[in-house]
Parts: sequence; C-alpha cells; structure tokens
Amino acid sequence: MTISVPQTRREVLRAWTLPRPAQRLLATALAAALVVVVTWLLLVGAWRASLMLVAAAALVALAGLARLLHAERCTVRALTAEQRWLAAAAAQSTGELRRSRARIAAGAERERRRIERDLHDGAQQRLVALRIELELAEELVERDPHTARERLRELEHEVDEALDELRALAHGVYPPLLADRGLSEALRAETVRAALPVRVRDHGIGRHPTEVESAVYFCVLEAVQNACKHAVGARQVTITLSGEHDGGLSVEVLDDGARMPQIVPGHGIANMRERLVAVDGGIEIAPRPRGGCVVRMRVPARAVR
Amino acid sequence: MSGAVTVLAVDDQEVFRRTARRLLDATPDFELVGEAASGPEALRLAAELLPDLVLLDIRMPGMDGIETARRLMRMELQSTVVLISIGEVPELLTEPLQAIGVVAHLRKQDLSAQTLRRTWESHHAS
Repeated sequence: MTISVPQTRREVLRAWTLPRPAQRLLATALAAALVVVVTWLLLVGAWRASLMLVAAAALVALAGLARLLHAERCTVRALTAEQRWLAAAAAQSTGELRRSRARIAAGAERERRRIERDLHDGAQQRLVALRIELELAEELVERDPHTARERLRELEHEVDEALDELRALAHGVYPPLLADRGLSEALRAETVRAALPVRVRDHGIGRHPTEVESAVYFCVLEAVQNACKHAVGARQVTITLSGEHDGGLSVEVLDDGARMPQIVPGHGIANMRERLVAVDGGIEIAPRPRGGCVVRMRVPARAVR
Repeated sequence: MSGAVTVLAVDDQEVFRRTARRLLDATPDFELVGEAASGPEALRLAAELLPDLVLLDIRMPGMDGIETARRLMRMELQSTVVLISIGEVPELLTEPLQAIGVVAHLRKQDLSAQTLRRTWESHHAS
C-alpha cells in the first residue's frame, strides 16, 4: 500500500485548490469577460446586454460546476484509497495482535508444563519416596532401633533436598529477592554466579508492577546468559537500569566482546520479545560499533502504571 | 509360595528406583532382580530376566508405561504387570487395564510391603 493518511489530506487539498497559473488564467478570463460585457453594454442595447450577462454568468457557473465536480471526484478517489489503506492497516494490526496473543498463550502453556514436569520429576518424587521410606523406617524401629535411627537421619537429609528443589522451582517462577528488593538487587544476586563478571548500574529504576519486573528480570538474565555464551573474547557484562521521566523503565545489557557481524535471533531472543511485548514493552539487539553487543529493553509508562 | 517373587522395577526416576530397592529388601518373599529407567530397557530386561512381577511407572519420557505394558503383553512373558503413578489413574490411561495386560494400578505413595503382597496375592490366589 503506497498511500498514507497525510498524503490523502494533501491530495484532497490539491483537489480543492487551483494551481497558481490556473488562478492567473481564471482571473484573466474573468477580467476579459467583464471587458466584453461592458463593451457590449455600450455598443448594443440593454436587453442584449442582459442576455449576454446571463450567458456569461451561465458560462462562469458551468466552469465552476465542472471544477467542483472534478474536485469532488478527486476527493472521493483519495478518500476511497485512504479507506482501503486504513482497512488493510486495521486487518494487519488485528492479525498481528491475534498472533501475538497466541504466542503469549503458548508461552504461558509451555511454562505451566515445565513447572508441572519439574514438580513431578523433582519434589513430588522425593516426597512419595519419603512416604514409603518412612513406613519402612517405622517397621524397622521395633526390629532394629539403631538402624531405624540411621535411616531417619538419612530421610531428614532427603526432606532437605525436597525443600531445596521446591525452593529452586519457586525461585524460577518468581524470585523472592525480586519481590522483596526489586530488579537491581535481584539481578546483582543472581548474576554473581554468571560465567563472566557482571556489573549492575542502577540509575534509579525504582519499583514497578510484578509482571513488569518479572518480564524484565528474566529477559536480562537471558541476555547475560547469551553474552556469556556467544560474546567472543568478552571480559565483562554491564547491566544499566534506568527509570524514565515518564515513569517507564529502560535497561541495557552490553558486553565487551569482539564485534559481531550479525545477530541471528533464536528461541531465546523470541522468548525475550514475547515476555516484553506482553507488558507493552520492546527489545532491540544490535552490535556495538567498537565491538560487543548491546541489548536494549524498554517498558513504557502505561504498562508500568 | 515356592521361591521368592522376582520383581523388575521400571521408573525413569532414580529416587523412586532406590526406594523400590529398599522396599523390596524389606518385603519377605519378594526379590528385586532388575531395574530399568525406560520402556525399551524394561522390554529388554523383562525378556532376559523373565520376572514374576513388573512394577511399571506410567509417566516416562519416550515410551511411557502404558505403551511398555502393551508391548510386554504382546511378548507373552507371563509376567504380572502392575502400573504405578503419583496420584490417581492418570488421563493417559484411556482403556481398561486388562486390555493392555495390566492387573492393577497402584499409587506410588501407597506402596508398602503389605500392598505389594496383597496385590500379588489377589491375582495369584490359586
């Protein structure tokens, strides 16, 4: 589609406005008509003059009408084109919105299944095993109290392991430190274990709604993980967290690795984009001129409020 | 009972296989003869060991317990197959147990020397 709304307005304006040479021509024609009418008035009688006046007026009216019809036709054409453009744009937006919603729903479903699988394979199995082993230990208490005591100690250790697994799972869903202390501290704590040294600079990011902080937190971790994995020769990753004047937030994750010729987006980047789009945010990934890569994320104020 | 009931435990979870080991150690007249971590491994060990009882986890990656049971039935090994899972019979099981050669379903959390013996005896009363 080549037409745009401002272009349509220009075309409508052009349709109703005469170009300068045409304006001059029209003025000359009107003046000439006036001269002819006055001459006729002087040369012939009044009744003939009236006839000529009527004829001249009719001619001017016809010319005006023709011009009006032409302008109308141009306007209708421009408006029809605009209407088509708007309809196509609306259809495109609706399609994008539908696809985006489907992707978000699929992402949520994948996440739900992952949590269910982690619970089933982890803590749930341990608790079921504990249930059976406690019954075995109970039987052992009368027969062999010493061995039973040892078994119970082992089982205490297994309870601790089940608790650790549950804690790790809860951490993956919504990290407690993020809930309590916000993005800056949660990211500092989590990136301590990263493969590269990570520096976190907080320029007053402040606190934001749970869904926004959660989306940004996991996207930043993904970006850090990508840098550790793909940035050739990188020695450090820097995370800059900023609050914006309008109440939104922006985050930059940059590495000092070798210059990347191009960035091929994979599943990880698609997931980051989905997470941010779900909170009305956006992401931009680009190579830095002097080497390394920068990931920019932004969540506008309307999502933050 | 003439000799111990030989048991093959099938579960992809090491935690549960370890528990099954302890449970069968503590259950008189039952003997664990093999452990498998997947459906294909279970089929191979069942053909090799010819166990009296197969304790078969339903939910396993790749070939699940239901498909494994179906194939064990086709192998006509005469083993008694008991399906196990966390919680009630899962939605995965859409046909009667007998149709896939299974005699019973037990919740993992209910497994004990008594339930094992009771299940075995109820299907081998003679």
